[in-house]
Amino acid sequence: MTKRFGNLVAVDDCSLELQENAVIYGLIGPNGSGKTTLFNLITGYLAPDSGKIYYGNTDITKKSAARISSLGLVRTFQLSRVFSHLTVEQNLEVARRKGIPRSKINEIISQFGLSNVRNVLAGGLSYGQKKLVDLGRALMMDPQLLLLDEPTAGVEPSVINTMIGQIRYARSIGKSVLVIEHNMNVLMSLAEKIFVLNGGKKIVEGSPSEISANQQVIDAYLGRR
Amino acid sequence: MFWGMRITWITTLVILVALAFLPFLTTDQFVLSAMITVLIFALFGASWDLSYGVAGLLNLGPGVSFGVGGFALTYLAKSHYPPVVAVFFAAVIAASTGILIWIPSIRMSGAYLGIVTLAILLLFSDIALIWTGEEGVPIGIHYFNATLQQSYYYALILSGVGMFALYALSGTRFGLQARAMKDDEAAAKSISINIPIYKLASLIVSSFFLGLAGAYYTLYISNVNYTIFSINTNFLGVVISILGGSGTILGSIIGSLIVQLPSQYLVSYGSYSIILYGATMILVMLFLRGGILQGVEYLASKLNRNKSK
Repeated sequence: MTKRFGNLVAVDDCSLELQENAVIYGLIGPNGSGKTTLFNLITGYLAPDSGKIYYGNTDITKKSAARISSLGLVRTFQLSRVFSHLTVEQNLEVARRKGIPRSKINEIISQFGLSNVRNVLAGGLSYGQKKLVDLGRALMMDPQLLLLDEPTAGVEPSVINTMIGQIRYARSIGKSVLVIEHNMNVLMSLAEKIFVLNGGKKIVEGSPSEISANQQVIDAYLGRR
Repeated sequence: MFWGMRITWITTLVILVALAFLPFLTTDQFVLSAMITVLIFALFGASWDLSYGVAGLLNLGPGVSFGVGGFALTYLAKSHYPPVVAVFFAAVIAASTGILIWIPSIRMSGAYLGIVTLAILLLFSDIALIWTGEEGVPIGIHYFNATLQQSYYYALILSGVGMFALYALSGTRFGLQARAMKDDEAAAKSISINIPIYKLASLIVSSFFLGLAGAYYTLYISNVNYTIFSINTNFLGVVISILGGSGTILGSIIGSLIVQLPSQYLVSYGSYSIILYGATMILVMLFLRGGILQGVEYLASKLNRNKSK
């Protein structure tokens, strides 16, 4: 796919293939490398200038964001986007997909340590709690592919541990996850395959050990051309 | 159910039940007539609250649906439909104006949408003036043969049932998703909320109940003209809703009692009534941004906390 904003090529003929189910993929790159733009293209928030996006055998290039999420491709955002005027419970309820029992809400609230803020308006939560609500809300959609945009950014270690646990659990029940992360400790412990972007292009893909030893990746993060 | 929500519907129910006894306490025609207007505009405010307070759509021309309901009623009356049928179908016709408001809402929000919808209102006002002149369209005096007391009870039932229907809708999954849409459209899309459809549904339902209020208002006063699309009438519903408590739906009955009742008494004082409700609006916005009902809920929750200590 390619996406331009005026003269800026945010995503430059970038191609990703998530071939397997139940895998945690990582997406890394320096700031401005096009990671979030790629997420926005995949999830229907932006339309590519060229290229196609397939989810299974379905061409989702021109589908709306709401339609794409209903197909099982669910995302979170770089900055928390809880529904501030709804409670924690309502934030989860509003995302509950048909067929998912209400008991799932209790499960997530309990697992995420949100029991004591269940009836608190989400706008009044700490940032870490908001990020947990974001993740919990995405899980209420029963996604097949979860796209997490910097889930651990700006949160405390206990919240990070909860998130890692939930991501691993999602994988264990057959879901795939694509995570944008700058926290390399988190990513290297989670991801089984990593894509690296720089300047809108995919420069390399491979296992965490391959990526961490790759000179192109090191140069990209150190700003060398 | 949250404590606040319980207070909301209990307060409203108490007010409506109390109002049911009013004709037994007074036969003063002015009082009953004023209360009919209070009830009609409470429904107006509650209807607008669904589209703005719940769904977040700044439609600043709710008078369009209110007025279309009024005009539709006159033509249905002239076609000899019974009043109940005419009011209902006038509301259905008014609901179609929701589509007109929906079109700009697809691409616009906030102040821009407000300006466009206000322009639509002004357009309807001009069309009505050109089409029906200053005299407007009368309904025959024998069309709605109801005593003042009967008219009062019809208004109470219409307003009460309408407000509670809107309140119930706001508490359903649809209402919850509409509130989510209001909070953050981008996040709402990520959980499969089809934004254009939710906007359309909110506006059509809101327009239906606005049309119901406008149709009964026209039935009661037996006449409609272009002034039903006036800015004063239009913003009265908005003020009532915000004063009562935006997003509460039922707060409009309180808003209407505070705004509409005194202004009925101050009609002979002309612009003093506008000064009164303008001043009231400013005071409420400064000290009780959530409206009067928020104040009631706050007091009730304080009492409840003190009781449990």
